[in-house]
Amino acid sequence: MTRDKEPLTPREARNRNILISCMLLGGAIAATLVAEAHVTTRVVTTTIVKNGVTTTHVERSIDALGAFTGPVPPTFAIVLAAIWGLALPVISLLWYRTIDEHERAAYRDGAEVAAFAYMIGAPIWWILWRGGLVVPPDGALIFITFNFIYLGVWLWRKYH
Amino acid sequence: MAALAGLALKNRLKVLRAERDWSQAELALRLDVSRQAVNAIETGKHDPSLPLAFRISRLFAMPIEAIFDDAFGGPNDQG
Repeated sequence: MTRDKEPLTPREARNRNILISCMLLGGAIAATLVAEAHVTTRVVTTTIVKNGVTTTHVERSIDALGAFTGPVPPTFAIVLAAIWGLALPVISLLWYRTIDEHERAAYRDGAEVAAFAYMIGAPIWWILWRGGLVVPPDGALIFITFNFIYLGVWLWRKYH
Repeated sequence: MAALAGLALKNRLKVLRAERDWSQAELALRLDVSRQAVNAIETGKHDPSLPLAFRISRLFAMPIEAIFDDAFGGPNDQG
């Protein structure tokens, strides 16, 4: 990303290409996940009997979040886990060797802040839940929040 | 996080770059870093590592102390 029209250095171009590839891969995985997930359809049937007349009301609603938290075919789960566990570390290593020290420092700062947010936030949620005050901790939400903080700090440190 | 801790070095990188009429991208190319890195060093938000400081020193043919200043003075001023 450049504010003016100057071309990217080779290192910046390699960095950008790896990140774009990761985003495309992530987007493809997310799209496939949505397509493969079993979206839960909630059906509520209400039957009212009044004066001998039976009235049935059926309400259907789709649990959209089920696309992200619902069950998926086992084979698909194994493939995704393999991609995440094998491809991601390799891509991360390649990327880490491409970036310069400034981005490395920004990336580490992002990790540090996100780790602190997790270490402070997750136990708070957990203990408040045990006290019956909040909903149970949601792993997916914690993971997404962690990554948003990570990304935000990383980008702020890199471009600010 | 050096800048946040108030430990950022002062430097003459921007002046030296301007004297040679180099853009940040050109300097970045010569130092094999990103343009953001050059900008961060010039604005004091990032202190270069020792290897990068030496590359900067060799590029401008000047000692590191002539380019960077930690504002602590000479060795006799410490302690």
